[in-house]
Amino acid sequence: MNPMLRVDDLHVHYGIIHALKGVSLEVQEGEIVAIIGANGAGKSTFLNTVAGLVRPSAGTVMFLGKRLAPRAHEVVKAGIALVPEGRRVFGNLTVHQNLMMGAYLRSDTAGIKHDEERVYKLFPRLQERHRQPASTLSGGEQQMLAIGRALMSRPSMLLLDEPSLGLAPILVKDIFATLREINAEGTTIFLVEQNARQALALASRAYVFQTGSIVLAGPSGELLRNKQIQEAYLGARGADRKRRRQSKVSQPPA
Amino acid sequence: MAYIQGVMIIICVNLMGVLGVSLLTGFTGMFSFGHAAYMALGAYTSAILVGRLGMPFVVGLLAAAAFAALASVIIGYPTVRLVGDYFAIAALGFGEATRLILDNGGSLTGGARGFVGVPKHTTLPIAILIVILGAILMRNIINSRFGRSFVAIREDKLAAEAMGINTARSRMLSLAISAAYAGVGGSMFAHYLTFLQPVMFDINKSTELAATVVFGGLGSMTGSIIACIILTSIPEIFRPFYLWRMVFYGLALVTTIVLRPQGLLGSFEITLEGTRRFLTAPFRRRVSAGGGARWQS
Repeated sequence: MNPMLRVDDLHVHYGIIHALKGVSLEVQEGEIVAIIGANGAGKSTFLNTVAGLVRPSAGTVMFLGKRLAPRAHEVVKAGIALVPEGRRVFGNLTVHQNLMMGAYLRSDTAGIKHDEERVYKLFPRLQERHRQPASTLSGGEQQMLAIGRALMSRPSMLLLDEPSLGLAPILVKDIFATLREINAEGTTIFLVEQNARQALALASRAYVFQTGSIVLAGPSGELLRNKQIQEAYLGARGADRKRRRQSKVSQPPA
Repeated sequence: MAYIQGVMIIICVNLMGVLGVSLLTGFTGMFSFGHAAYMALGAYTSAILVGRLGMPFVVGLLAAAAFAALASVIIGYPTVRLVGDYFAIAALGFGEATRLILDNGGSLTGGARGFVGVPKHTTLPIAILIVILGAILMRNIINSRFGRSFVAIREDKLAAEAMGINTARSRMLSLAISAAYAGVGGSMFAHYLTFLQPVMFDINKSTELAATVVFGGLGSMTGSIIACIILTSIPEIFRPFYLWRMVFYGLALVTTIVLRPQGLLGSFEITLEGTRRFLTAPFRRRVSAGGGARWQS
């Protein structure tokens, strides 16, 4: 089976900084795949490049068998929607207006109405506040709105950049549960997360990024058991503390 | 009476320019200090077509809009991707360049001595009609799909892009529409004054348009309209005070910005529906008194 998304040898340069150094990966239809990694590993750059917001200096992105043009509006048209890092809702517009913005490229009024109802079903809080300006929502509600807004383009693949950023753990749990629900309804999910534990619990597979390259990949269960991953990203407290007590020298993360 | 009519015509002229700048600055978030140039291009286009070539006034108006829009596309193509201050500076440079070109236009524009003998066509009813049509069209533009894309760009350009909005094209479109409005204003101006000079369209005029929009409230078309009426009238009302009149103008601007940084109306719009609700509010309040559940709706 051909993968839904196939990225081949993707390079991105910001001036003289080589942010992505030849990333290749695949996502199958219906999967939930995560990218984990530290700050500055190139996770967001990668996602923004797939979304067409950043131009790659080399490499190709294939989606559903066709090469994706590095232009955001072409990418959305092809069926990929991005939930950008930091939510970035339209603050002065109401919740309803934000959702309508998400359906910008669509003109099927009945379908848009139906999808708005669907978003309200997924996030009942948004329905309660549908006439409020987005800037008056809490961080969690804004994240819900950002996800709902992306769903309004009826994407076949949803990209999420750090959906847990700055949210209380209980909210993160809620939102990740909803992501699972969205996936069960047929949307492929590809997310970038610093919260590796949550991401690996949600995703079936993950890629580990480090300084612009993939250093590790595999099923989430395997990664969760991996010693290096435990130490570097999961903060494996028990093992770590014991060793530190013995040697008094903390090891730098791999 | 002729004097008051004249002031009202000038208000209409400025309103066209202000409607344009309001769309660009208030709704799309792009500052321009060069919109007098589009007025100038409209004024001279119309003056040449109607005054020299004897075409009808309507053709002059439409050609003014078209030529100003065309010029904005030519200047917009390389600059519209610039963000924030850079675009404003590019627009400022374009404005001054246009004025200097007109200054040195030879027999075509009459140069710095001016363009004489533009036929007088702009009467008060015509001016008011054009402004009303322009305002209705503008309202439809803002409520259209493109209008929504402009607002999305103002709110957050990156998020707008992620929604599938072609931001470069939308910004270009907003610039072209706003230039066309300024062009029509210029044409009305030419056919009212019957005499044109490049110095009428200098940086002061551009600044005046931008200041009016900020004064009225960014993101409010009705605010821009009210601001334009106030700011155009003040220097005329205080004309008896001669040199002091511009002080009142400055005072009105500064006081407003200090007391209401968001402008007269902020981003609030005065609508027919809103006015109706406001006027009937006392009755509704009586009906729902004791209910107290009105806020939840």
